[in-house]
Amino acid sequence: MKPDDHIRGDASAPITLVEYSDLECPFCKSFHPGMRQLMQEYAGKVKWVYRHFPLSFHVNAQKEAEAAECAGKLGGNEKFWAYIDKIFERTTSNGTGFALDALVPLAKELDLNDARFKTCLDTGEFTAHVQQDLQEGVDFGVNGTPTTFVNGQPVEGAVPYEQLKAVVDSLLK
Amino acid sequence: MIRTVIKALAVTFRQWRYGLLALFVATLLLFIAIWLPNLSFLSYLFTNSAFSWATRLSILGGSLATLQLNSTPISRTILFILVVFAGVNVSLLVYYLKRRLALGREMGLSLTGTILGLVGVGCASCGSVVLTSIFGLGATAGFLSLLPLRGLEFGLISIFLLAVSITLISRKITDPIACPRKP
Repeated sequence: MKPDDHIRGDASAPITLVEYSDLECPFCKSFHPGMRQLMQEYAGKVKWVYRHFPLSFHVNAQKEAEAAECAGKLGGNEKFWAYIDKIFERTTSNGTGFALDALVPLAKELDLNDARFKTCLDTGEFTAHVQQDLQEGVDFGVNGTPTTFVNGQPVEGAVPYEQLKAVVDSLLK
Repeated sequence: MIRTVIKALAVTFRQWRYGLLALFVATLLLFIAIWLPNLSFLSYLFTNSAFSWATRLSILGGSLATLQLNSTPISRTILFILVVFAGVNVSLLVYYLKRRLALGREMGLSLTGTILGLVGVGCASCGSVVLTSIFGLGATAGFLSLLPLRGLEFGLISIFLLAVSITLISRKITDPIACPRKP
C-alpha cells in the first residue's frame, strides 16, 4: 500500500483488493458493480485500492484517470470514488466512451470547484502519477485490465461476482 | 490446445454441480443409446397394463445387459467416449453461458440482448460457441439414431466433432475477460 492510494472501505480490513483498472475498459466497467457489491457485503472485512492502468489504445483513459485524481485532490477520497463510479456508470467504453469535454461538467455535478478542477486537468498535474501507477502495474505483472490482487493473489479479468466472493471467502477462513 | 482444455475443465468442474450435470447427461445418453433399438418393446412394456411398475423397472434395468450382447468391444468403447464427451460438452457450455449471462447482467444488458449476442454471427468474442455446441450435440444425436446400423465411422466422426466443440468452448472459458495490455 502507498500513502497516496485511494482506499474504499475500512483501512484496517484484513482483506485488501488492489485493482488495476482502465476507465475505458468495458470489462472494468462490468467488473465495477461486483466490486461495489463486495464492499457492501463484506463491510469491515475488505478494503479496495484503486490504481490506474490506462491502456494506450483507449485514447481517453489517461485523461479520465487524471480527472479522477483531480477530483480526489479537490474533494478528498469520497469525491475520487464518486468520480470513478460516475464515469463507469456513464461511459460506453472502448476508448472514447466518455467525452473529454464532459470531465469538467461531471466535476461540477459532484460539487467540486470547476475552475480549479479545469486547471488541475489542463496543467497535467497528475499525468506522471497515473503513469507511475501504470508502470508499477507492469512491474507487478499486470497484463490486462481489470487485474485485482486479493491479498497479493492475482485475479485476472472481470470474473463473475460469485468467483470473486469465493476467493475472498477462502481467505477469510 | 490440450492445456487450454485441461484448464477449462479444471475451472468448470471445480464446482461439483457441473460434474453432476456431465454425469447426468452422459448417463441419460447412454440409456437412450441402449433403449433406442428397443423402442417398440419399451412402448409395449409401458402401454400394457399386464406389467406392474416394479416389473417394468426391473425389465428396464435388465435391458442394460443388451449392451453387452448387442455390441462389440470397439463399438462399446466408442459409445462410452461419445457419452462422456457429450456430457462434458454440455457442462462446459452451461458454465460458459452462465458466466456470459452474469457478466451481461452486470453490464446492464437485457437477457434477450445477451442471448442474441451469444448466437449472433457478428459477435467476435462469443458467436460461434453456441452453434458449434449445438453442432456437437447434433452429431451425437445423429450417431445415436444410427446406432442400429452400427456404423463405427459415424461414431468416430461424432467423437471428432465433439472434441472440436469442447476445444472451442474451452478457449472461450479460458479467455481472461480482460482488455489486454497489448492489443
